[in-house]
Amino acid sequence: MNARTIARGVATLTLTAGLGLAGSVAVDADTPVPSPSASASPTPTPHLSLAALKVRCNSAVQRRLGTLGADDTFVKQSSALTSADRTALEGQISADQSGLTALDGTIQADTTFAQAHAECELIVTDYRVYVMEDPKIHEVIAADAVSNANGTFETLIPELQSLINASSVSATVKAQAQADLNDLTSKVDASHTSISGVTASVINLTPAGWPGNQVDLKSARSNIKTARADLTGARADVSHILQLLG
Amino acid sequence: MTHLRAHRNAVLCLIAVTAIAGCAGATRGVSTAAPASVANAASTSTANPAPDTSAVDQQVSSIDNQLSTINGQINAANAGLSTSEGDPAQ
Repeated sequence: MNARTIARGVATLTLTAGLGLAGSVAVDADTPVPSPSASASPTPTPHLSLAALKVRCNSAVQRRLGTLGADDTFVKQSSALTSADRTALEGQISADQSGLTALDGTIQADTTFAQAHAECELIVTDYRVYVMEDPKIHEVIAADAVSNANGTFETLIPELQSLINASSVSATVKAQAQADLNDLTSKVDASHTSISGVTASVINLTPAGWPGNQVDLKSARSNIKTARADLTGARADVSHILQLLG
Repeated sequence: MTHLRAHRNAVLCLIAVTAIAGCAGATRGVSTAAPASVANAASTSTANPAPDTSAVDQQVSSIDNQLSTINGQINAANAGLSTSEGDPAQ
């Protein structure tokens, strides 16, 4: 093994490590990605003045308020959400917005660095806007949209059955269309099973349960993806049936 | 001679009547055969009301919108689940 080989190996390892870190994007990217122990450290950053810290904290609050504002618009405008889920999410968003605004006010009034530093960490630990609230909101909307799509398919299935029954295509083609409709029905049933309980499993998650409740968010996402795959397959069946029947 | 002409006219008239009757029968035969499928369709539609294809189109369009919403929201959730909060205090 010569020096060139060693150098190439080191470069490869460096690149791999870099790509691994890049996979997890820190939202407050002006600071290094903190490890869990680093974020829990009570030691204030020595080179930062109190005024500079307050600016950083305010900026972090404003970014989160921006995300929550966009989420609130999504929630208000989404036709997918049930009324109960919309009310629950709006309440959570509103509570986060007022809580963060009040926390920012407290931080800006702090007179010591240690005080401001401790409270600035609460912007993350008491709200988990980026890693929990925001994905949770999107998952609830997606899960409700899956339920809506299931309902629409249930309306469509008897209509397609009538089309097949009334069609003047050959018996062979009619049998193909019927097989597609049977497949469609089983896929919608599977989607029902996948999405059952998903909204309830995430809608009331709180930052206090972090990081444990990350498992619930990932499980919900997985179930929504499975349901989506079934619905996409069912949609393809619809196209094929309509094509067969002309 | 007059009698002969009258006889010939009677024969011609008989031929004409026969031809007209034949044409009418043929026409009736065609018109009976042609709408067989229409009659079948009519009886089918009576037994099983004609499906409203515009309703099917509407449901399909609605499903497409719902799938689009699901895709967009999953992508947005993915972004959050691959993010870390960072630490503004550091």
